[in-house]
Amino acid sequence: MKKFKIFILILVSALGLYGCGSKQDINELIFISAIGFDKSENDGFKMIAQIVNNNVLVPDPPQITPVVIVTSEGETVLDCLVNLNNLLPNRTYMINLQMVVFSEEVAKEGINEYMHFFVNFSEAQHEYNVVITKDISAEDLMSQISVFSMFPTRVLINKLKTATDYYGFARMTFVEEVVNTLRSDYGTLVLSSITAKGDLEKGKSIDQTKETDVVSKIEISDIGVFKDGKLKGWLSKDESVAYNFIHNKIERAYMTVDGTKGNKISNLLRMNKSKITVEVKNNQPSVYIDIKFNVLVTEDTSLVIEIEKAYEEHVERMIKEKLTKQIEDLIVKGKSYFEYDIFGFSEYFYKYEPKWYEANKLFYDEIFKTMPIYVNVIPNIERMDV
Amino acid sequence: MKEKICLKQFFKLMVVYIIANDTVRGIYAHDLKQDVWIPQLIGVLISVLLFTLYLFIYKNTKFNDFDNSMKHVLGKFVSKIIYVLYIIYFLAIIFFNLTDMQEIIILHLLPGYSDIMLNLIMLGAILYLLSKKVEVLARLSELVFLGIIAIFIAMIVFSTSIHVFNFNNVLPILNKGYLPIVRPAIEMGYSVPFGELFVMLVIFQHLDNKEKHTKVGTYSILTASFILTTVTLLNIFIIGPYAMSYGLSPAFRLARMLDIEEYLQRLDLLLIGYHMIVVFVKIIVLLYGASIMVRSIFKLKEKQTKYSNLILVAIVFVATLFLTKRYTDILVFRRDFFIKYIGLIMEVFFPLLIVIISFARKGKKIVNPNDLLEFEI
Amino acid sequence: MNQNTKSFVKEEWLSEDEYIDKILFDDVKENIEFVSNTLGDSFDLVIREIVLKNVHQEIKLGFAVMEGLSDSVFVNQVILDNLANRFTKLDEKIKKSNMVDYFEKTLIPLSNVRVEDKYGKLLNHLLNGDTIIMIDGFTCFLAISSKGFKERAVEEPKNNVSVKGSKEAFTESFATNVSLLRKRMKNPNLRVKTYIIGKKTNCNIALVYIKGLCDEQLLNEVDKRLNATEIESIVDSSYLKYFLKEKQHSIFPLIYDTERPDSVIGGLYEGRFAIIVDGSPNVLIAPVTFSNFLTSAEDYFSKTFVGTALRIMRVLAVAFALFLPAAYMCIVKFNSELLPINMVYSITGQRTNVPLPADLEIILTCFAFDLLTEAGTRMPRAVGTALSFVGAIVIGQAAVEASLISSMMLIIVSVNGIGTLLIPDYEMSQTVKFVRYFILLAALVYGILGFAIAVFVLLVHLISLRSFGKPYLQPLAPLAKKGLLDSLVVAPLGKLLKRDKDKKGAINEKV
Repeated sequence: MKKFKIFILILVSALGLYGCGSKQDINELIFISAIGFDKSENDGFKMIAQIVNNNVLVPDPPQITPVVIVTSEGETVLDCLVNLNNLLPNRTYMINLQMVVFSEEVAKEGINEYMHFFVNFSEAQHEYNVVITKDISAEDLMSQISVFSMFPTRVLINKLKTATDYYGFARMTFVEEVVNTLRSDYGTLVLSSITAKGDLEKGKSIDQTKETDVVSKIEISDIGVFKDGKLKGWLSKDESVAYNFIHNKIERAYMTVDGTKGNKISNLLRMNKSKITVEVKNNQPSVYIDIKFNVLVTEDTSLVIEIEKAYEEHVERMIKEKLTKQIEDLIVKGKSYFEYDIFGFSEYFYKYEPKWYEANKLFYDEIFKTMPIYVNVIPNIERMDV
Repeated sequence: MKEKICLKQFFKLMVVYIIANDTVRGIYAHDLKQDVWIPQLIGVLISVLLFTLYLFIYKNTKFNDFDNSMKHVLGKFVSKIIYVLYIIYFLAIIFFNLTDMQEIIILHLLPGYSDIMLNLIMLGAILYLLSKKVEVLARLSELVFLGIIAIFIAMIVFSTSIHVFNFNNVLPILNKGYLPIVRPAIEMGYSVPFGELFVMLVIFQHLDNKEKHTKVGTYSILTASFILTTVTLLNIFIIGPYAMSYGLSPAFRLARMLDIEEYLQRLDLLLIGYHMIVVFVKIIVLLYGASIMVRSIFKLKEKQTKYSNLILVAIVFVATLFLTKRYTDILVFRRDFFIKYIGLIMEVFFPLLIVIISFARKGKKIVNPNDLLEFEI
Repeated sequence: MNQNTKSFVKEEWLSEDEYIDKILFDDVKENIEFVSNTLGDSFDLVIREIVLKNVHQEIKLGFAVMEGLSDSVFVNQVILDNLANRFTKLDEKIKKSNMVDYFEKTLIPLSNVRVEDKYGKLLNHLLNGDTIIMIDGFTCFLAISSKGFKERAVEEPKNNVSVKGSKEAFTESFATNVSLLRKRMKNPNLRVKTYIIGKKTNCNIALVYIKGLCDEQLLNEVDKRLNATEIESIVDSSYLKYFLKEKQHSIFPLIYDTERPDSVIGGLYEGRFAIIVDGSPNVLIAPVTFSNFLTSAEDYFSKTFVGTALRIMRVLAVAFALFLPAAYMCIVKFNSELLPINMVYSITGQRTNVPLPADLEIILTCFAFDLLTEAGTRMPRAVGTALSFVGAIVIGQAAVEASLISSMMLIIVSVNGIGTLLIPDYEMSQTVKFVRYFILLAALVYGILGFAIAVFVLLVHLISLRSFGKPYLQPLAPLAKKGLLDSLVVAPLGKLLKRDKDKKGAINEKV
């Protein structure tokens, strides 16, 4: 009996070893670091993949291009991916997917259809950003080689992160947020956009990294506002800052105000705490926005920051006025130019006043145009002469 | 009883057993979205109630061992029929859990692998543990419990440090009224995730000082439910109700979002490996229950239980060979038929019947101790 | 006793059963012939007749001693000379009725004299280096202790090194070892119970325990097992390990052996027992748990924090030694998402020019390192230092430059090897080396799943082991709070050594 058991054991183990050679080694995989979607001439999706060139990863890399751009077409995202694999020698591996880029035209037609693949996708590490491009195609953006680092996507992500954390006019949106907003019947989707100026064709070659003058300048640009997954319009930088203030997403922002003597005072605004409250009284909705933040007075062109109460109050008042004006301008733009709720207050109505929202869901955009929105900006000077 | 488990080991074993049900909680997330935590709280209460009722079977037969208690209550012939039904039920639960695990592993860990080999190796490891005694299972559950606590604390720490919590994701509460949560609440009580606890009675017989420790079931269910509900709530807060309903398991979804200092990522792969061990514990408890019942039906001796275990495992393996053609079919079958009807019968109806009969036969003489089987796994 | 007619073929070989209980003959001549026959007329046996004469009487004695085993100065001057002198100075005749008694108590008043009458004992004493004196006309003999074999001096321990602490190690001599223990624990409760095991080698074995601290049931069990040991020859203490442990199939060592007396005393104090085997410098301690193999005496000699840090480092070393190649395989071959992306890029870059697939590479490298380490241990001193562990790394570096293996592999295997070397017990490190291949194989075929299953099987195996009835993973597996004081962390010594006043038995037992 014992010999029989041992025999079975060996047989089973031998059968198990059949899988030994069939897995692919790590150096035989192809890393995709960014995926973009452009408008295709045919009726379908056109996918652009940015692939890391494995020869650049050796300890002593030669001077070759670090990334390669490959495009393919298909009917769904997975279809495109499969067609992509036909062009490449090995299996693609999306471990390092960091960014999904939609071009402006695709965004205008709607990004709903692309999202399901990315939500449930299981190979990638941690969250990847969704951005759109402005004025350029996704292919052009992804083929720009950057002088700052070997991997251009990393540079883009870092620029986005810096813009979000340090300047406050951009937003990092991850896939879960996109899907939540697209599938529910409340909320508004906004995505940051990236644009590039300069000689884009020259920026695709590696010679760009050998000169001091940066040939193609990639920068983070306006925020795009969506409705039902389709791009409707843009918000400029100041408007983006105001928008982010409303939604409590500012880590840091800078604002310059006028001083009493014709000088300019620059301030750093941080520790933003905004609160949105919605109220329905007698079937009349209204929104109250409270924005609190701390101010650090940084620079005064008159060379002197006076540590006096009058000075402080003046600065606070100027900031309050300026920001309130920005926000109110934005609200006006939302009501008259966009004509729908670009701020996503419907989310708050859905959560806090569900009955009213259920009843009035279909007319919500109309109601928004005449809905009173009260803004209260409360700056607080934390420190001066920093 | 030859084998003894101490109280803390039983507590930990039961917690591990309940947490193994994590994989399938996502069944309800699609319909309920952000209210999915409410039925869990109600289900906990139902589960606690059920388990205390189960324990009456022991109380009324003066804390004999499992086999003799059943025989005393039901008589030898009826208990054999009941045993057969329960054996099939346990094997079915094992089959479902195994296919769940297999799906997740094939999707994430080993894409493209043959499921037969996976099943073979998993069942081989299970058979190895099954050949040891119950004490080994109890000690293993202690270690696994430690791991679960550590992972749970790590999850909370990492998720609070990085991600933004939207506490208002949980609103609006009960948007569509109370009706949609009634059925899920009851199902969560007797079945996935806080149910399927009838087999714990079989392990309960090894506990020493059974009279004093009847509250242990309550504590363990409460602990396990605390862990599971917290994970669900974290999911709702961080991921959002819509994105949460893709895929099945909340804990893996959460672990995918976490990273350590944005450096070590995709921790859900490690979590899948660890969860597999937790599911092994559950499967072994179920197999042990089935093996005790088989032993009682056929009056086997100690040495022959090794063959009966082998046969039980072989039945499960053959089922996975032929019945796993489509995973969605299995899932639909489980949700619409198995949990609704069969779970109700086996976990609620039959045990209540047994408890009621046990009250009726409370004063009567207990089965002759010469019939005691010597229990070793 | 005709030496010329002896031939090898015609010799009668008496088996042990025949002489063990045989009573001596009356006649000295016959005794001498019998002993000489049994020992095969060996050249180092000195056996002859002696006649003591004095004014009153004349006594014939038979005298036997083994030359190499006894202290010849002692035998000649102290025993024989004194005996003869004393006898000649006697002023009365010794009566026949108390001749043996007189000899034992008055004529040879040396410290260690025994009177026995069986051949088994005679040969035993003779082969232990004692002097045998047989009196004509009586069937008993006197055995006088005169041991004088050449033995190694007490030196530094070679295998269990500690920076502080005593530098005495056990030697091969039985008496010295017992004395090293007694020296450290001057307590009358330290009991030494001797056995003689091995029919052919007749090895002395001592069971050392502290009465009152060691469990009575445990001692009975050991006694039973030692008496049931059916072995013919014992060469080293590790032979006993096989007979003493329970019948479980396991590659993990279940009995601990050490060269240091202070470890043994520590173990005795915890309620364990020790077994000293004559001829072996390793003393066995049982029952043990897994964490005993990861401890060294150093942990207790330093501060608590240092001791805890050392322990944690050792646990990490064991984890590295067991899991590192398998984890690397999982990452490289199956799920590279676990690593940060820069590391993935770096590994990809290094592996680009390597001709071997990842599985072959790691198995070859691990195996080559094991070969080199083993060769370095066994090599004679003159050549050995050239092929040390560092030499292995240099060879590995050359292999990297020839693009045979990738440098990451070399680092992995080196860290792995260092982890194995950090384990204080030699036997455990060999076991770990073997087990890691098993886990590596599982990870090669099945990735993280295989790794998890291999760890699971290993855990189950360890949990089900028992060492003399004590669970192998004691402070962890059945959670024993007092045992935790000494497992991963080293509690401050006051807490560690405190004993409840009315609790008998071992300290760190399961409560």
